[in-house]
Amino acid sequence: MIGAALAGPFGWKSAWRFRARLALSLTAVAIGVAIGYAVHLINTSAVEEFARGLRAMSGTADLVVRGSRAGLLLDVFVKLARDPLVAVASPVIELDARVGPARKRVSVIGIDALRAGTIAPALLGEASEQLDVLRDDTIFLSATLASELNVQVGGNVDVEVEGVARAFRIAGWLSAQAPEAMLAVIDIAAAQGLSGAYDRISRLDIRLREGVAVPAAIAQFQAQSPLALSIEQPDEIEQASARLSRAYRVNLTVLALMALFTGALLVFSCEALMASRRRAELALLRVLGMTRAEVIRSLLRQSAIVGIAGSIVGLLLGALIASLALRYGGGDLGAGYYRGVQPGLSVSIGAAITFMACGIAAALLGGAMPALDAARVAPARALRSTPDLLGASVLQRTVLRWTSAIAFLVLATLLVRLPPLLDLPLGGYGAIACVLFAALVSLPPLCAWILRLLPHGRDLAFWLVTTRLRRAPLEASISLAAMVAAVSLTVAMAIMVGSFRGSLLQWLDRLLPADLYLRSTGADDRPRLGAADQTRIAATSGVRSVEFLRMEPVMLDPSRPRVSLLARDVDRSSIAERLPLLERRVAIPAGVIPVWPSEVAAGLYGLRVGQTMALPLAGAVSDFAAIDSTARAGEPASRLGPNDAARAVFIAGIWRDYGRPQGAIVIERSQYIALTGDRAADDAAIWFERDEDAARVTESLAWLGSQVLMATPGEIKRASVQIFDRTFAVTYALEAVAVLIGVAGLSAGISASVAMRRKELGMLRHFGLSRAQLMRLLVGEGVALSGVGAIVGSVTGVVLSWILIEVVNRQSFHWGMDMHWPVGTLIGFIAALIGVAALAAALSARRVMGEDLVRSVREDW
Amino acid sequence: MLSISRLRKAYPASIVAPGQAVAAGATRLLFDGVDFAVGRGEFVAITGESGTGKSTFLNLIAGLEPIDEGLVEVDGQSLARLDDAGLARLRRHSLGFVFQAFHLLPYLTVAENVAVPLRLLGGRSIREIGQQVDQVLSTLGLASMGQTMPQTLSGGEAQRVAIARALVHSPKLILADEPTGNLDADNGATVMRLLKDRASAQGAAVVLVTHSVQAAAFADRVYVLADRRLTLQSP
Repeated sequence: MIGAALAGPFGWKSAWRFRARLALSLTAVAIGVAIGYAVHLINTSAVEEFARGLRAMSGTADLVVRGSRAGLLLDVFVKLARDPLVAVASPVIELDARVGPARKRVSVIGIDALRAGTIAPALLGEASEQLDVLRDDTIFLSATLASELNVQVGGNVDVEVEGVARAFRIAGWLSAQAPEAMLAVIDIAAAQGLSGAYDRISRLDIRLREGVAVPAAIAQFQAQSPLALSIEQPDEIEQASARLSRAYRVNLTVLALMALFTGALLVFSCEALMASRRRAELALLRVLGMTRAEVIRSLLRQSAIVGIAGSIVGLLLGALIASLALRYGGGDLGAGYYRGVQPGLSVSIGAAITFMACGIAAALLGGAMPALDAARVAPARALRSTPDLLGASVLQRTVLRWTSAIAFLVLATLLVRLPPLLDLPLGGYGAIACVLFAALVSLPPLCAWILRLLPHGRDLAFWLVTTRLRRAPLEASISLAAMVAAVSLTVAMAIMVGSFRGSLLQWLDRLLPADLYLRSTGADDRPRLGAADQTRIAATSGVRSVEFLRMEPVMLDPSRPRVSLLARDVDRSSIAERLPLLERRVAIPAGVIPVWPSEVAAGLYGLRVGQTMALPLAGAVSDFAAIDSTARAGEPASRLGPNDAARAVFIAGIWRDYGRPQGAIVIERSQYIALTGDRAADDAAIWFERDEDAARVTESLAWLGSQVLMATPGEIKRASVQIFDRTFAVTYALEAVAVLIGVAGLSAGISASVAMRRKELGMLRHFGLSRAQLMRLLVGEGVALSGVGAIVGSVTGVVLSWILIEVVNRQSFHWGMDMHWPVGTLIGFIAALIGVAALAAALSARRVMGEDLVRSVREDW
Repeated sequence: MLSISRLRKAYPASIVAPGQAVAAGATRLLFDGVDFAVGRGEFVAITGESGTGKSTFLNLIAGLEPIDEGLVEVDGQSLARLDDAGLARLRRHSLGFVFQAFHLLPYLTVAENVAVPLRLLGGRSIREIGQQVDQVLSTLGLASMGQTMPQTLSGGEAQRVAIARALVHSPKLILADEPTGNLDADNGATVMRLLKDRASAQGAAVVLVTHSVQAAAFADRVYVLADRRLTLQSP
């Protein structure tokens, strides 16, 4: 194909004249493909690694059974293990431990080797002495952990869980299929000894007998159990995990593909400018007998070569970027979904082909209109006139442009009304594309209109600049296309991120009214604040009041991650002071138990204020509305059986929560205790006595140990903002790439425009324009051009930001935000862009003035 | 108006003979000891074979290219003593140009093209500029074409607009480089007549470079550029 293209009428010699522009197009396609492919590879590798970990953890289990966060009672294990439907039941205890002299935080898993060996062999250590896997004083480390701790087989390592430390002999390493990089496995009896919980396990992995249907088994286990169970299938866990991050991953890929879209516009700019410069050559070929179709094919072939070569380079570059990112940064691209996951590069041919097709399509899309336009030009006229921009053609039809723009905008307004498809804001993406297309097709008349608003100055340079841009807006638009797209995207993202950041800070202010916060930590999710601890905290000197919070994951939909049920020490009368409520409040009917789902939970499960909903607790669906809170207060959870699940709880309000992407539901803690008997707490908010010192209270609470973190609101805000900024760091990088491509497009346009007008500039030198005036003229033109691009891009960006905030964000993450305008950032960004354009113009001017401008006036005789 | 004495100018051989193999640093002498003078209102033509440096000679007069030796004075000012800005000012005030390819700016109307030298000079209101442009357009028979875009003009019309542009700011010297090169005989004659008449009416001197015998016939004196020197051919 390359040979054919080079042998064609626009062969080597013709293309070689424009090698810099072709190289720029190729680079833009390569960068677009590379960024998109790299983001895809990193995300895919992380998801696959995470899924592999989950699969290795549960092995060939058909079901994973869990109890409440406190764990699954051993009795349940015994009963299920004896159930005729069960082939193997493997108990697992998960511990959040500190290991080694540096007390490194590590997941330690306790297993019954004989049972786990048949279900999850990846959890079995490889020991020279086979019986070591059964001993309660041995430990098996993952290779990464062993390397971190710098230990050898036969050596000892200390493991500490909640202040209880014990030495273990390192009996061997875990296999390469181990589910986590930083993992240690011990015998289940040793794990019970460390945790002190001899009557509970964390989970039970079950393999059913041949021929037993999974749904039937789940129903039977639930019915037989005095306590309702949480029973999940490993595939569902995997899907729910992937689903939680899917919207983020897709958004990131779409953002990455915007770089490719900007690249397509750069290809368009370069191809249009090249076609313009080759106008006489094309006309001559047409006169000599070349058909229009042949002209189009020749130009498109050139675009295709750019696309193919750019895509190949892009794929290689993308794989390299992904490989380096995975090696040095892990699989998390900032949002924290896959923090700590260290995947290897997982390359798929299908994805490579898709991204290559995108790259080629981008190049062909960019080259299509210039090719069609070049073929439409009347040869006789093109041969006669100077190599200025193409004459009357589809590119210049103002009415067609306005009509197309309006059509795109109408389509966009329809698309934003679409509900999410496959949990993704596909309508929102479509609307963004439509708004961008509307801006791009209406760019020439918009340019002319904006420039008409400028005053008609007396200065010749200013007059020439504004008149030229006003009357030749097509050329300006071709140069501006990539820049407008990049500015639109950046402005939109800046407003969206600024709004999100502003809303987050407001939310934190609202949500953190106390002086000090305590939070239980630990991979095993056990609450650390028992009833006695709570009394002691409340009685601490300097503490005026305390509100406790219990967090319990509840499953509303097996295909989604669990929602956090937050039992808070608040009541219905003071809830508005503690929660940032969004929707209208309604009167709470007597006798019902109110709950306040977060905006995310409401979005995910379609919850509305005033409705009722069924709320499962510890796997059961509890009829909260049927419970008289005063009568049942203090009763143990075991009283609640699945038969109680008949009626619904009342949704009293929706609140904004940025902390839990899986959704949260707040319930009064008094009601929660009444229903479950669970008086433990995970978090606490502490208010000090007047003039009390935070450091002193913190010191007084040191007895809580390392499993309870303490932080002031300021520290939490700082940490939250850091996490936020880290989350969006990748998006900033992707925007920067798009902006670079856009600026490159503008610079190429300015450079081409200056080169094409050498005769005009030479003529102006004849008439008495000094070099300084000529420089001023060209720099002024760059400033005016980029200024127009900034205006159109900014306005488009504001529209796109609304779509991002109200459609894409809501449908992807189900949370809203208030509009915050990052005015300073935007002004700085636009000033920098205009500065870069002025610099590009100055460099082009300098280059062209270094050539013999005077002689260029004579070039045509 | 224009006085040139002992002009000497050499160029790198690569510029004079592009594409030909030349030794690095080799030069070719284009003018050697040229003396030339044009008085106020005079119309002088220079002819010669291609490549002898006729257009370059005009560039040297306009200060667009530096001379190696000798003296070039335009309107009493020695070009050697002027910097880039000074030369630009001199061209702006004292010189007018007519080119073979017209070089009308495609994005300006006829009137706006003609107004370029006046805008460059400054010191006039938009209204004054408009009046002056209208006046010169009507003297050249272009009164109705002020708002026309250059792309729609015929060759003869375009060159008349170019002449209007060269005359509008009343320069003392007009440099015309093959102004009839793109025109047929009739249009060429019309353009030459207009150029001569209007320049004469304004008292401007004209230096015409041309291959055309018919065009040269309009001149008061005709010089031939050959062998690096100018030789008076007629009268």
